[in-house]
Amino acid sequence: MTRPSLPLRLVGLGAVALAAFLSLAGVPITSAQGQTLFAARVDGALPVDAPFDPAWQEVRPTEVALSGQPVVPPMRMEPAFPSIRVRALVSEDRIAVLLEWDDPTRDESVLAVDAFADAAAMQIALGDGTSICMGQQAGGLNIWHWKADWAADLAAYRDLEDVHPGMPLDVHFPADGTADAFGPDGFLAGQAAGNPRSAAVRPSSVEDLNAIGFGTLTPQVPEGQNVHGASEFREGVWRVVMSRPLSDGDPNDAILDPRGSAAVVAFAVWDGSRGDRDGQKSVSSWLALALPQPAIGFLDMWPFMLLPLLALGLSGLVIWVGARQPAVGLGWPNGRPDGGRGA
Amino acid sequence: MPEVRNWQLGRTMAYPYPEHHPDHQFAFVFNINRCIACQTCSLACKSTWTFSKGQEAMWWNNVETKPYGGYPAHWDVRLLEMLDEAHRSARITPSWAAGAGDPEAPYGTYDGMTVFEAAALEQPQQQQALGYLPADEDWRAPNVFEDVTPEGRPAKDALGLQAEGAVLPEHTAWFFYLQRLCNHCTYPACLAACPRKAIYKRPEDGVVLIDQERCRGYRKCVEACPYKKSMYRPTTRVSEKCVACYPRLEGLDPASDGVPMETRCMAACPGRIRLQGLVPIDADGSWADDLQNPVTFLVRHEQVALPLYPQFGTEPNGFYIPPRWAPRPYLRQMFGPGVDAAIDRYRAPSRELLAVLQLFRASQRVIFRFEIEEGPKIFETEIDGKPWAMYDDTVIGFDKLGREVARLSVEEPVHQRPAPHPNSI
Repeated sequence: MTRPSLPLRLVGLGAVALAAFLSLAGVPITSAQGQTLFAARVDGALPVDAPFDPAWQEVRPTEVALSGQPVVPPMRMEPAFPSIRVRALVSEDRIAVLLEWDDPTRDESVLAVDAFADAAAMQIALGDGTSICMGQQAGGLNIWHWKADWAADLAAYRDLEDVHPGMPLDVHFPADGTADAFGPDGFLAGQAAGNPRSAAVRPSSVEDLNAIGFGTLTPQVPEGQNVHGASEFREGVWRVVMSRPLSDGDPNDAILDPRGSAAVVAFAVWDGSRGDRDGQKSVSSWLALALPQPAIGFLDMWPFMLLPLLALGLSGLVIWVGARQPAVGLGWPNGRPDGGRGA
Repeated sequence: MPEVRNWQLGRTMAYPYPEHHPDHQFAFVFNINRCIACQTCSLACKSTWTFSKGQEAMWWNNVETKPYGGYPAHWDVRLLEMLDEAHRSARITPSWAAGAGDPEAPYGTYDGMTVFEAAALEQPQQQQALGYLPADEDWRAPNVFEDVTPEGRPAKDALGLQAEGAVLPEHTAWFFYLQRLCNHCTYPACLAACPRKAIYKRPEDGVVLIDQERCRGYRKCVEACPYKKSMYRPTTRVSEKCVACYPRLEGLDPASDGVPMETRCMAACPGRIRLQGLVPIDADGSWADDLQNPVTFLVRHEQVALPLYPQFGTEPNGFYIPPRWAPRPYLRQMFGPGVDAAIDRYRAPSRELLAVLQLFRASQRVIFRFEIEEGPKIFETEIDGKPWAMYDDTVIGFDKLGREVARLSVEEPVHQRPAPHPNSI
């Protein structure tokens, strides 16, 4: 091995000295800055219903690494997928986030006892005092949770006869036609209790939820469910689009304001065929979601246009006022300038 | 993890939540010796609670033939195997140490691992309880292996008969029926495993329920319940379980007269194998010393009825009088070390026990207290070389308000009609 040349060694020594000086002066020389997901601005409508729309290809995806969930039972020590690719688009009044990951199995049914569906979620911090682990009392989370089974149900609701054709009872109790008959489905306890999981009709494949700690995950009321979902599975790749109006006035929804500071988000993915559900999931760290400043319109430039106008007006005023003043100060002595001697 | 007191294990054990006990505990005693597997209980439950779409394979109450039968298939064998594996990996040989007559450790002390402790072996602990998730197929044949014996099958050319096959104390050709429903455990594994805290134990009667609004269908309870009595319903995509007919327990049934009433499965039993109670519980979780309560009397005083797989550690509140003809090692595995004494007491019952055994299925109302009126001696014999006498005592049961709801004598009254009407109806 050859020894470095003297200039190179001097450069190295200088760098070490500089680092030492900066450290002594309290200036950080390394940073644990998190990842930032930059949303791109789109004029017009967002491709909220088209996960494979060419508009998405124009955005460079951010590769977000996933890890297991080793914090609270039920755990997953290893992630199902090493990473997901995330893109975000923003229009005048709406944001759309595209999650994409490679998954060899398409798991869309939860009808068997041991069948679990693929799912994906984005959590957005509400306030500063939250925790990445399902939030905490000091600061909650707003969670958008897409479910492959809900998406499949939206296309065509799947029920028991789709997996066990011979199973549903043909005799109903109490008998059909009687006053207390329940109909062909009988009594659906979860539905009667208003559980969104048991609902026959759901507005979206994405559930809008809040959490303030482990075990507190709670769906927002039906009127608050305003996250739209679209998803497609192509050749071993899931693509899921979740979209929502930027500002909606709902205090349980995260504020996404391009004029404000960046939102703080994290992602999670569940692999149904691995039995993933609840805490058995693959999760990311926090990311900053930076929304692009709104495009500057003609009227947005009013201060810059007003300033020259103001300057022009002011100088005009000075000239005008000056022109109206009689000459004073170092003017001519009494009488004419030439003392009456001239012509 | 907090330590809780489990009297069935005679020791404290790890559980995810600290102790908190109900005023009364829903509990029941089943006399396996009397069951004829008619499944009236199963149908009474099904026609009340699980008659709808998505509940076709759901039997909150079932009766299976042991040793091979199981609903879901082989539920106990599979978990026992998993527990064995956990003990092997931890190099522990589980055993029961004989107790010294401690009433709070009636079966001695179990030094093996419960389903909670076995789950904690894995570090970091990834699950709250050791368990497995049965598949759809496992729930489809609730009564498979009905009446199948494990050994002592008839020899070839024996015309279906087995000489010496059914000789006490242990039949060589044996099976017995096991009646099962949710044990409304003191330390439910389903509740421990639910990450949403959607499962709760009622403070008034200890009934364990799944909140149908909060459940998100994760099936952690189905996986964790060692008795597999949490069940997933595909049509609502959430889990359901036995609700202990709580409207009847609350006295809301029109026939209940406002006082607690036995569940449908108990009240429907034609074999009179079932007795259901609400056992008073002290603040520290121990059973109140109320020996006039028939369930407390049978379980704690006579110790003739035993918990199902106490080693699982959930402190189940269903108790069984073991079948007297089955092999003891099998029964000890299933009901713990109290089996031999329980069978002895059942074979030669005390005067009080014989009277209380008459109370089974004597009333639809829950019996809170019993009294015995002594009657004459009607029979004498020897059992195991010791003299034994039968008295025609009368047992009287009282409901929650102290009203008499049952009155039965040990000897069933017989009326012989006079000769002119031998066959008239």
